[in-house]
Amino acid sequence: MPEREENTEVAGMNVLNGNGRLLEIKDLIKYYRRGRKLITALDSVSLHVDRGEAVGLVGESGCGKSTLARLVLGLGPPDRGSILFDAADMLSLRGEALRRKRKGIQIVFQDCGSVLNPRLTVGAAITEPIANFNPPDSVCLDKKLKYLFEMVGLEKSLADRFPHQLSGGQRQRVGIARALAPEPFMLVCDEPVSSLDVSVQSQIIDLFLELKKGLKLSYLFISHDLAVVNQICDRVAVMYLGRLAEVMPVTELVSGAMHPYTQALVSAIPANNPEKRGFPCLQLRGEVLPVVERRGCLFAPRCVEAQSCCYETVPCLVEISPGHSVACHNIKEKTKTS
Amino acid sequence: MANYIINRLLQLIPVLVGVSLITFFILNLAPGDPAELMVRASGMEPTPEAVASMREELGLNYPLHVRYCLWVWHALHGDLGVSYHSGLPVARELALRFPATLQLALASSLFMILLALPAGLLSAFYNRSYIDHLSRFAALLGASMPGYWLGLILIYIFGVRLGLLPVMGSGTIKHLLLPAMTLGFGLAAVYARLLRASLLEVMGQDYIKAARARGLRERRIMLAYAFKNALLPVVTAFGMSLGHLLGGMVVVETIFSWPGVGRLSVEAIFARDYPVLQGYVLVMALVFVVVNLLVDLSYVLLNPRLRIGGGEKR
Amino acid sequence: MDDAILRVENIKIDFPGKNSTVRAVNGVSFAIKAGETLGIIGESGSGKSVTALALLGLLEKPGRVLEGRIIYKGRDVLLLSRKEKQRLRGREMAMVFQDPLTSLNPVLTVGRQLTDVLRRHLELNRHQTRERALRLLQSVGLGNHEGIMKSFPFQLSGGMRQRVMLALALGANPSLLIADEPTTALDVTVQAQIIRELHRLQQEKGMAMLVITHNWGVVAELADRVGVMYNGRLVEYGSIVDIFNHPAHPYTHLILSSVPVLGKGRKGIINIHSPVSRVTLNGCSFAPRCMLKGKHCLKAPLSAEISPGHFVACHLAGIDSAIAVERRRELA
Repeated sequence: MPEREENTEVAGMNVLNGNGRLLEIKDLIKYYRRGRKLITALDSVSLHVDRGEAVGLVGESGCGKSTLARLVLGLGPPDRGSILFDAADMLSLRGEALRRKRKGIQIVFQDCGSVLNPRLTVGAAITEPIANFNPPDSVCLDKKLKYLFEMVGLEKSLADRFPHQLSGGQRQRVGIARALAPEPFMLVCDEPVSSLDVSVQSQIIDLFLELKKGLKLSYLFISHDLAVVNQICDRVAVMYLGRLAEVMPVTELVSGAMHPYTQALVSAIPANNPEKRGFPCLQLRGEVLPVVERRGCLFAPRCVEAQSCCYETVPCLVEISPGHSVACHNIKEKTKTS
Repeated sequence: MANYIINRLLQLIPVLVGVSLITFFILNLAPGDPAELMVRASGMEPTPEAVASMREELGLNYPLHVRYCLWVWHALHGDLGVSYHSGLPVARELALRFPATLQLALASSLFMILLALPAGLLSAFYNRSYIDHLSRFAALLGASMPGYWLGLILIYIFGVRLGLLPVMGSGTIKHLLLPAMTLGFGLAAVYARLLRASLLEVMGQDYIKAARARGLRERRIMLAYAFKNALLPVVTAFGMSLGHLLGGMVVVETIFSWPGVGRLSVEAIFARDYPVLQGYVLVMALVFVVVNLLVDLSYVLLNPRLRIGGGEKR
Repeated sequence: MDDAILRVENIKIDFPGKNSTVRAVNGVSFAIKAGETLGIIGESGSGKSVTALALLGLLEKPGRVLEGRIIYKGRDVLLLSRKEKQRLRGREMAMVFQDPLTSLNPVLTVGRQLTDVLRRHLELNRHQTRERALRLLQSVGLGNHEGIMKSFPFQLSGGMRQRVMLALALGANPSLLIADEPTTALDVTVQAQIIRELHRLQQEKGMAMLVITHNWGVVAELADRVGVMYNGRLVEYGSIVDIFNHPAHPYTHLILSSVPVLGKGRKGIINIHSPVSRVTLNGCSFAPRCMLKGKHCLKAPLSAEISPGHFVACHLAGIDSAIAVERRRELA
C-alpha cells in the first residue's frame, strides 16, 4: 500500500474540520410521488459514520437504502432533516463551497462497467475527477494516475484500455480508483461486489479492507449480503420500508441480533454446509409489500412476535447497549425478563 | 383516467393558439396582395381605387394584432371568415371537403392494415426465408415509389386497360378504391417493415424464450404473446400517419380529382386565400391533437400497465 | 438398467462467430436420477446456462451442439424432430428462469399464461383447466389464487412472480425441473422461501431437479450431487458431502474458500489476478490461475474417479500423486 501523498495544494482544500463524526444524518425524510400516491422512501432516519469507520446499510427492496445513499451524496434534497458532512451542513451550502465539500465523499457503483464512459480510456476516466476539481499539470496528473493504479492493484499498462476490454473485477477496480481520485474521506458503495463472480468478489473485498486501513477511509456500504457486510463493516444499519430497524456492531450479527427482521435476515442466509440446510430458524410471514398507511411498526404484518401494540404505535430506535439500537416493542420485554 | 383526458383536451388550447398565431403572422409576410387577387377574381380590373376599396372591405387596413384578435373572436363563434377566392364561408368550404378526406383516410388505413399486418407477421415468423425476402423487397419498393407514380400506374391498369374502376371524382365505393390503394400501399410498405422489426425485437425477449421453454407452439407465441407487445411502437407511428392523412393528401387528391381538404389548402395557398388557410390550419391542428389523444387512449387497451394505476408493486 | 432420468454424455457446444468459434461447453457429462437434485455451480462464462438451454433444445443461433448425447428417459433428445422436442418442453422437462419480471409476458394476465400451458399439454376442458390452474397456484404457496389469476405480472412482487414461474413450469407435471439461477433476482428472505418451496415441491412430486447457480448457499440447501464448471468443463463432480468436505480440484477449493461466511473472519486469500482470456488452451484452462500449476498441466486433464462417485479433472487429484501431496502440504 503506497503512502498517502502529502499534496499541500490538495490538502488545503480538503481539510477535515472537527473530529469524530464524519457524517451525521438527522431525522431524514424523503417522499416520492407516484401518480396520486405519496410514497415515503425515508421516514426519520438518523445515522452517523465516524472517521475511518465502515457502516453497512442492509435491507430489502423498498427499504430506502438507495435513496439514503443518493441524498447523502447530494443527488437530491430531502424533504426534512439534516445532513452534516465534515461538520458542514450540506443542505445549506451552495456553489464553490458545496463543490469542495463534495470532494470528500464519492461513490462506487454496483456495475462499474455500465457507469464508465465507453468512449473514454480507463486512465482518462480516472483522472477526470481530478481535472474537474483542481487540474494540476500533466506530469503531476500522470504521477497521480500511477499512484491510484497501484492503490487499487491494477497494472499501469491498462490505462490506455477501454472499459469493455477489461474484466468485471478490473472494471470495479477502475471505479474505485476513480472514486479515490479526488482524495475523499468517505466512499458510498452501492452493492459494489454484488455483480462479481465469487472468486473476484473476495479480491475486491480485500481491496476495500486494505483501503480502509491504509487511507483511513469511511464507508457507507450498501449491500443485501450480510456476510459481505460482516467482512468489511464495523457497524450495520438494518432498514425496513424507510425506517431503521436496528443499528449494531457487526460482531453481534450472528447471535446478538434483537430485531425480528434482523434475525430473519440472518436466518435467511443459505447454509454454507449441507448439514445445516433447511433454514431451521427462519420465521417470517409473507413478503415486503408497500404499505398504504404507515401506522405502527411496519414490520408487524410479517412478524411472528407481533402484538396489538405493534400495530398501533411506531417503535422508536432505542439504545439497548453501547452502539446497539433497536426499534421494537418486544425488546423492552426481552431485556426486562433477561 | 377522466382526469387524463381532460388534461389532454385542455392542452389543445395552447396548441391552437400557438398554431394560429404563427400561421397568421407568417401568412402576412408572404408576398402577394389578397385585395388585388380578389379584385381580379371578381372579374374587375385591378385599378388602384378598386384595390383600395377592396382592402377596406376586407379589413386589411387594420393593424396586424387587431386583425388577429378579430379573427379569433369570430373563430370562437364558428365563423372562420369568408374565402377570398370563392366568397363562401370558410367553415362551409372545409365542412364540404372534410368528409371526403375522412373517407379516403379511413379507407387507406384499412387497406394499409389489411396489407401490412399479414406481411409483417409472415415476415417475422418466416424470418430469413424467401417469404421474408419477398415481403421486404415489396416493402422497399412501396416505400420508394412516389405516390403519384403509383397512382398513375394504377389508373392505367385498372382504369384505362381493364376499365374496371373509375379514375376521377368521388361518389361510389368504386371511386374510393384506386386512391385508397395508392395511399394504402405506400403506407403498408412502411408499416410492414416497422411491424417486422418490432416483432423481431419482441421475439428476442426473455418471456418469449420462457414461453418456448414451456412447449408452446411457435405460431401461438407469435400471435398471442409477441404481437400485442410488438404493436405498441407501430400504433404510435400510426397516430402520426393518421394525422397526416386527415390533413389531406394533396398529390393523390389531385390525381384522382378527389374533392378533399388537401386540394383546397393548396389552391388557397396559390390564391393567397388567407381565411381559408387560417381555418384549415386551425382545424388540422385540432384534428391532429384529437387523433393523437385517441391513439394514446388505444394504448390503454394494449398495455395493461396504463389501465391499472400503473407502477410496480414491489 | 439405468435409473437416471437424464444422462448427458460428453456434450460440446460451439458458438461460431465471424472470426473465431467459441467453445462454450467442452465435453460435459452428468446424470440425474428421479427425486435427485444436481447443482451445477460455476461463474460467469463457465457455460452452465448454455448447457441448460441445450437440454431443452433452446440454444439460440448460432450456437449448436457439436458432439455428445442428451439422453432423456432413454431417448436422445438431440436426435428428435423439432415437433418432438417441442412436445418434451413443459411436459417432461421444464425450466424456471432467473428474472421473473422479464420472463413473464407483461401484457397477459397470469391466468391466461397459466391456462395456455395447461391447455397445450393436458387434455382438459375449460372448467377443468381453470380448476387445475387455481390448485397449481395454491400448491406453489400463492394464497390469493383467484386474484392472482386476474393480475398482470407487474402487479405482483418479485417472490410472487417467481412462484408463478414455478407454477407455469410445474403445470404439466414434468419429470425434470431445470432452475437457472432461481433466486438471484430476489430479496434475501424471499430467496429462502423460494428455496424451501423448491425443496418441498421436489419432494412432493418426486421429480429430478437441475439447479444452476453461482451461489454455494443455494447448492448447499438443495443439491444431492454437485458439478463444478469452469470454462466449459466439469472440473469436479460428486456428492454434496464429498464436494463440501473434500474438494479435490483447486478451482473448487478457490471458490469455496472465497465465499464470505457470516461470523468467520477473512482468511489470507492469495491475491491472484484473473486474466481476461477466453482462449481455450489445449491444456488445463484453469492452469493460469492455479496454485498447483506445473508442467503436467500443459496437457488437458481427464476426469478421474478418486473415490466412488467423486470425479475430478486435475492431474494432481489422484491420491497417489506425490507432487499433489507435496504441493498441498505447502498450501495448508
